[in-house]
Amino acid sequence: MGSRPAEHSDSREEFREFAVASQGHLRRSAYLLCGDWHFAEDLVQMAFDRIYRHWNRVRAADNPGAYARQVVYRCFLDSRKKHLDTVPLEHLPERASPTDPTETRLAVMEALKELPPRTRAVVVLRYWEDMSVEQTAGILNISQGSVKSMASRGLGLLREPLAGFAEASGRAGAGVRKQT
Amino acid sequence: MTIEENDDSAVRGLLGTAFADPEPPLRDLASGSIARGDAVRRRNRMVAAGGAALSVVAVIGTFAVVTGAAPAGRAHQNPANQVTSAASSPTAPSPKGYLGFGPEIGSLDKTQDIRMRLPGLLAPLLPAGVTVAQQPSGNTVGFVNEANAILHAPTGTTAATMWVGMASGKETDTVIHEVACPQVPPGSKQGTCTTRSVDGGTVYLDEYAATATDTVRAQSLPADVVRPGTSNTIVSRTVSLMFVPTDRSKYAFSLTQSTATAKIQYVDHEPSDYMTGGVWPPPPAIDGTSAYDPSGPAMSADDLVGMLAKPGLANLEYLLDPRTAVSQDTQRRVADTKAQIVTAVQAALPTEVKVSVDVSLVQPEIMLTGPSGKNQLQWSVDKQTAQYKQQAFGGCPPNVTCTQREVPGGTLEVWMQKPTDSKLTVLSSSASVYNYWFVPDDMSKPVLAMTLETSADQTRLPSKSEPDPGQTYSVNDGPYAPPQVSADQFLAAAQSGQLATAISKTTPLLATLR
Repeated sequence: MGSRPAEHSDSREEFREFAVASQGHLRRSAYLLCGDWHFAEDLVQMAFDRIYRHWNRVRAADNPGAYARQVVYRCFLDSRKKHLDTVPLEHLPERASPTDPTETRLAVMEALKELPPRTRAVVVLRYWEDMSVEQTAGILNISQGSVKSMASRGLGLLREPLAGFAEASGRAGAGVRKQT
Repeated sequence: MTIEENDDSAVRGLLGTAFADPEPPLRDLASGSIARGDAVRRRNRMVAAGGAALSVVAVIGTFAVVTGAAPAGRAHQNPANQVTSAASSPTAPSPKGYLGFGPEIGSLDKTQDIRMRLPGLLAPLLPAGVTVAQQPSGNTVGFVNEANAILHAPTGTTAATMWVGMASGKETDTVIHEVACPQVPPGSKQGTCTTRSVDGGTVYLDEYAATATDTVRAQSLPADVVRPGTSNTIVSRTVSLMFVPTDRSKYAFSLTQSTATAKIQYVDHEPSDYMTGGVWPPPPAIDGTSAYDPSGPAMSADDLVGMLAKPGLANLEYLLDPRTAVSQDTQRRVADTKAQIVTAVQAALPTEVKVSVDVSLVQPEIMLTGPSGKNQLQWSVDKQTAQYKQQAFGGCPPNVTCTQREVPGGTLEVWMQKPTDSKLTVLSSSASVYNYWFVPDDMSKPVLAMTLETSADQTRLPSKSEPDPGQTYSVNDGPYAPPQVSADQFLAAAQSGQLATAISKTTPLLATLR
């Protein structure tokens, strides 16, 4: 009995260290998924709530960070289930100027927003998180075939609205490195 | 570099531009999870039924007004000591099952029920001169009992959000305070979180105001974007109430109001430390509402406390409880919408396929049941461009059988995707996902797309699901139901125009259920 509070205290501190170390990157990923910093933070908070409830099991895993990522993405998909997967064509946004960094950012976020949520998650995992097809499939609990087709379709749908931005972003984005 | 030349690096570079502007400061996310997790652990020892409470942070984030100056607002009336009882006592049978201390996800028809009936039940609780309007659909994030409404006062509008839960007897004061006063954490000197003892329990009142400087800082903008002399102007106010009953088996009730009270006054020209190329003046913050009332939220703290004494509150609480029954009127509305969807879909598909709408999930899904199993249907109309035609249809991924053929009026492309495990080993000789596209030759016409997904539990054959070693998920290795709509049947519907008609009819109908 006497050792239990100490064990719990250690567990809390381990979780706190893990959360502090991972929350920045998780929030960035969540922001790419939802396009809203407040909601991104909520997603990470929801994920942390779930993770802490199972922390004793999660801490024993080889890669708690991978588990956290999985929870964030699934929280996002769960939260999106009430929303439209597609938008009517007449609501597609006007194309922004490819020369303006802020407009590039807005255009990227708009283009991402146009993707169906699961396809968006695949694109972010594959091209922002550097996840492999099998890792992406595991995180989203879908088949690898679906990952490939969604990635292919997602890129296809990003090409048209972002056609003029890719070259500029190669320079602007060069200074932005993914946090791991 | 273009996306076509190097997909990985080009897309990564584009995604990286999302962080070209400063990010909002990170708050401590660990402590809240620890507090709630510890509380849940203690609660779970006491409550046999399952269903852990979801995070309360959705409430915290919904009206995330930044830190600010001391609150003010409308003149107060009706002192709190006039409250007699806030205990809920609906005449209907008591709902069964566990109810957490925070917003929870519920069924689709329950969400619809709340949205339809909330204004009628909230209106009698409001003070004179304040009315309520229904929040447009699509503005919630999936928490069924975090209901939203727009309050109208003579001077403007206020966004309101509310939910009911149950504060277990083991819920610590810290957790209750955190949930009740999300804007004012313990020890904070900004805003006020006051408690009042009332008959039947305790009321927590969270009053909060944000200055122009607070608001722009929350958007990661430099403070000098605000016109000198206006930085301390209050630009938004939040007044919220939570009632926590002494009898913890009864409902805890939360209502939060928030409104913008003034426009931020920006300097005439963007300052030198403003983000290069940024839009000027800065766009409004994304807060999910356009509520604006220079007098502040529609109800004062005392107005909110006064609501607790009104007998109609029990009916509102009962509606907000995600476990309570959906009204017959809402059931009829949902059933009617589902019937319209079924009719529209059926008109474009073979008669041997039975169409249904599954609302057991949070998102409605169109299901097709045919002679050899069940498919989940998704379809869309996509704008066609030259790039779209060349690039989106150019490749064929591994383990996918891709065919393409010229047909009258355009091209039919079919993908049949086989399920694989984490080693890319094909698990089944049959496909589990079928994609059809009809790409018209006429570039002015849109691409029609249909996806039929199957899973092992959608056949009438035995299936098995095995854990994938080293992974936290299971793989489903079939067998899989074949497509209940063939590629030729899809093509016939596309060429006849029936498919486009069905999609155009079902899209807005499905939207009303979301």
